[in-house]
Amino acid sequence: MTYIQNVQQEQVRSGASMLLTLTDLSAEPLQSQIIRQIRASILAGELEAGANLPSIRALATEQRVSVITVQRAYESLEREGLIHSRRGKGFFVSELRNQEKKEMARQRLEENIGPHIMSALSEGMRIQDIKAVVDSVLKHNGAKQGVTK
Amino acid sequence: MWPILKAEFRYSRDALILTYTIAVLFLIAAVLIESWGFYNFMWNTTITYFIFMGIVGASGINEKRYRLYTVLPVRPKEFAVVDTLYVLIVQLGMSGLWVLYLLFKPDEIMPGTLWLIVANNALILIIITMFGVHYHAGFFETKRYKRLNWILLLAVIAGIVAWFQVGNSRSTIRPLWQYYSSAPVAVALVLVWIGVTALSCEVFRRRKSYLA
Amino acid sequence: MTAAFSMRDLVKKYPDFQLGPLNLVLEPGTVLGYIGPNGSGKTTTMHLLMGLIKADDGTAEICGYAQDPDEPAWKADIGYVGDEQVFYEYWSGEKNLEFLSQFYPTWSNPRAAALAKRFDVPLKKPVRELSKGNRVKLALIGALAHTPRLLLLDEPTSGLDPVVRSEFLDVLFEYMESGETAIFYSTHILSDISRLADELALIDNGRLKLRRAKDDLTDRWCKISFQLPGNNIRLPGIATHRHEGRDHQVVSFDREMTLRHLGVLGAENVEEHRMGIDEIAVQILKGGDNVADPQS
Repeated sequence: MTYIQNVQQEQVRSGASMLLTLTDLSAEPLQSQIIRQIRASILAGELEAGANLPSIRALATEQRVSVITVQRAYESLEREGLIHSRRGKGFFVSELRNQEKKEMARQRLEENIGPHIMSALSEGMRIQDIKAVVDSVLKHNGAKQGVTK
Repeated sequence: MWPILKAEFRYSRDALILTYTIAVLFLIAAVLIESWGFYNFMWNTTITYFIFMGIVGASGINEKRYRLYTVLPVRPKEFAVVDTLYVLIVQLGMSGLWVLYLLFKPDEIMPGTLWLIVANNALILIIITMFGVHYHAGFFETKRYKRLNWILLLAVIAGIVAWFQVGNSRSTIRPLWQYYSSAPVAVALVLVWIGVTALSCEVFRRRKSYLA
Repeated sequence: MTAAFSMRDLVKKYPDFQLGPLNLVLEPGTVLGYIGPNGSGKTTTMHLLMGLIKADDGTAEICGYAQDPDEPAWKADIGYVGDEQVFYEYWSGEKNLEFLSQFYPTWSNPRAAALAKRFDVPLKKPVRELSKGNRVKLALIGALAHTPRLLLLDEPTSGLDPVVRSEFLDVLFEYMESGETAIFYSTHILSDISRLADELALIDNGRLKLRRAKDDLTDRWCKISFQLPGNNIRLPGIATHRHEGRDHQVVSFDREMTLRHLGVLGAENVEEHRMGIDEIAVQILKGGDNVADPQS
């Protein structure tokens, strides 16, 4: 009970319904973690178009990271077209048609697993074995994610 | 400035109470015991004063008081004034006890007694201020000043020893005191005290480091 | 916007050491981490900024004001936690804070009390009976209670247990939220500033070696291992290079350039690993001048 209450309080504080989990222990830089998690929220529809993101300073304070880290994360997301800034008003989630979102997600997946597939092939795996691995991963984890939106 | 002066008095309050208690005990003894005499009593309070100032000064240095002050948004001039006022007020308290003694023993009042009191106050303050000058000059970080500093200290110590020696010799004591207990000497000493105080303020201001 | 501080050709000479000429500017809204080995001049820099020692040459300004001891209002803009904490030792923490409060127009007693509670400092005990950790905490309260525009922190978390250290960092993040304050934070414990610092300045032997955004450093430095036959392989942008036979390990300060070059050379099994800010700092301090260019 208490845990859920704390979680809900966190959401109220940050303004936008954005819950980030940042860790120093990962090999991934903090900036990337922020970018990845916000992008995921946007593409999954959790952050709706037009939603107001926390200000750079507010997010930096809340997540205990430096302002520059958040600033660069926001700038990167802006370059990707996922968010845009309005002078004096802050950052907002951009209008993206579902089609665009799906295309972005698809592109990222290809970028991410492309090299892995190539190295699997170079290690001598057959195409059907590679596909079987993909199916197995989806079977174990896809259930958790729920149906695609 | 006033908050600092107030703080210094409040902080040393217990030591001050003890010191004045001792001085008052001396006063009582001097009044009650016939052979004590005014001059002895003045010596008593003066030694007590220097011991007290030695302890307060050492404690302040140990606690790095000037370092605490320097971080505050206060002019160095104001600290120098606080130091001056502190030593002055405590000594004036002692000389107040001298006057009190004379009220009890009016027969010991001589023509030059008033000037004697003024002169002694000035001399004591000059000596204590010179210790301050010596201490602050130690933060000049150049060899020339350090040498000057030590010469100054030795001169003061030599002067005190000489004064003691002279004062102890019975034959010279009366005429010397009479010469000493006069308006010109008293006024001159007060002027010297003002000069030395100004020197101390200036030396303090010119320190290159306030870390201690 | 006036800089929180700006040092121009600042020099302090000692018989066997010289600090500077130092050129460093800190803009408001920034946390600047100050890193360097012992004896490199970090504390001397802090002393100079605070006016505890006087420079031999050069100038420094705090929030746009010259460090004039006779116009000391600039000191009210600074919160300082130094290498030593000085107090009226026989007074309690409470009395010491009360004393300090008289000098700062922006002092807030509720804020001081709240901080004392948060840091769990015994305010009624005489300071001379406090542990080193509690003394540091008291100094922190004294520095933060008047919400100064510039915080000078000289190894402030030494002597603090992990819980208090975490609270302290939390307080610093909140302090920075307005965007109008600045922190100059010198430390050995790089994990303290690994998230807090926006920029880092590295000093060694009295000279500034580097001034960069922290993310720039963590983005561009990395360790790369790869395989490539042949000897005398020259790679651009690397600080160290070790190899045994075909196996190579390099530390690169320009990730993209080195990786591109490796691609051109046809290196195999290229694996890259991020470096933490402490590893990067060590590399820079060991590496000499060829490793990074200072940007003042």
